[in-house]
Amino acid sequence: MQRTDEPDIREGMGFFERYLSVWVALAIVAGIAMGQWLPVVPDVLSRFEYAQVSIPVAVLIWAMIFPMMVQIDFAAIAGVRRQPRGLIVTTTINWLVKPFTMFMIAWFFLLVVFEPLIETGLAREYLAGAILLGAAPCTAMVFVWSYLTRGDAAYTLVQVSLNDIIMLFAFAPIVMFLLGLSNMIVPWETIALSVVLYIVIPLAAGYATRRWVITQHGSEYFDNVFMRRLAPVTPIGLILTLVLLFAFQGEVILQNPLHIVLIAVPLILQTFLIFAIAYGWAMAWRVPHSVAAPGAMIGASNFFELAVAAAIALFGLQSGAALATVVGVLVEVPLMLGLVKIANRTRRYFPAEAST
Amino acid sequence: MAEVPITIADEARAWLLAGEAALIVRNATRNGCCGGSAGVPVAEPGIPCDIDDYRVIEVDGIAVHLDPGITISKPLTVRLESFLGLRHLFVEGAELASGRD
Repeated sequence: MQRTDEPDIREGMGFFERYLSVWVALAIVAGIAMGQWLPVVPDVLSRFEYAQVSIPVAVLIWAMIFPMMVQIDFAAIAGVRRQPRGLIVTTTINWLVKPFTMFMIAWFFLLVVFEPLIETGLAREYLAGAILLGAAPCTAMVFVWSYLTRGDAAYTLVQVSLNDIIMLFAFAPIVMFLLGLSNMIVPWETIALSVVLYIVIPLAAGYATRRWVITQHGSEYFDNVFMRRLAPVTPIGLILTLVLLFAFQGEVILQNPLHIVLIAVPLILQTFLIFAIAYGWAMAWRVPHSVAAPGAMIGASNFFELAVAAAIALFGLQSGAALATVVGVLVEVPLMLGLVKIANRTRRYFPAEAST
Repeated sequence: MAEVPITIADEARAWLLAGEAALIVRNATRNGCCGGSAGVPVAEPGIPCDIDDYRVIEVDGIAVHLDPGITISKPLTVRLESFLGLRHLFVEGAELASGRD
């Protein structure tokens, strides 16, 4: 027995998130305008640095990432033996396939196909941004995609918890390896610092906050009051980060506006490819649709806050890597809503229920 | 009051009976990173702070406090799972709900 009616997208996503691409585009314009006509703002902000880490940027990145980390329920990992086929598909695709297909597709387009259009050094920076996106599967938005495809709630919780734990250990080595293949050598200490700053610290702070709020006020308060109050912080942090980022690198965009489109090509292809592999594998393995859809969505979608943060930490605000990760944000919501439609229209090809 | 199609698996029931013999089944808000949110059905032992917000039914000696926001389109089963000493209740058969009011 399964429901075949599709949830209304407006029930899962409000006006802001449905049109995220528009706000991101406006943030890019606002940032470029600030850099051109109010250069004093980025100049002043760039003075607040400690150990080569920009304090305003770090604060904005924490504002983006902390609310995602605070909602991770590690106890859900207890369900890791449930729906093993779904977890095998999603874990294999997320960590053994996705980072490498992203590398290959981005390398092929940015350094081969678009070689006459993008200067090699810049193309390598864009490739680095794509690598960071490929190594960071979605951790939070998948709940919304799962809701919109009538996904299995308990399975979605487990796959997110498992994915977050793997990300803690796998993100840095995968990024190091693929950057090495791209001849982009980043010192281990720099990667380790960015992992500590933008994964370990927000995760530890999130866990401590979660425990404290639940102890003080109960889990209902945490979930339905605290989390709702925290909800706007991530999108606000994201938009402000983008304004600041483009205030610093407006010149790059003004000189190469076409690059945004060129960067988007491999990112879009990668999204569809990863979804197709995971979804097709799940279909062939007779995984129920309520597991297959969220299982495929988590890999297709990216934890772009982490990718943006790592790009800024490793290569700087003015880097091509940071720009590439922002293009990921720009195309994310329209692409994923397209995949939601595909998933809902292909539901009939999956078994309704299965005891995988 | 209409009958709610909810069952509690044996292991979960034994665990709950060893405690307060009370269970909460409710939606927990999970925010998306692009904005948006979803209500994820969760089960936990205990009695809710504001009991008036819940529908209370008795299932096999357990007082089940059911969040009216839970979407019930098929029978629900509350199960206990454990992994590396970690114990966790979960709701089988429940759907995610819209996180929007």
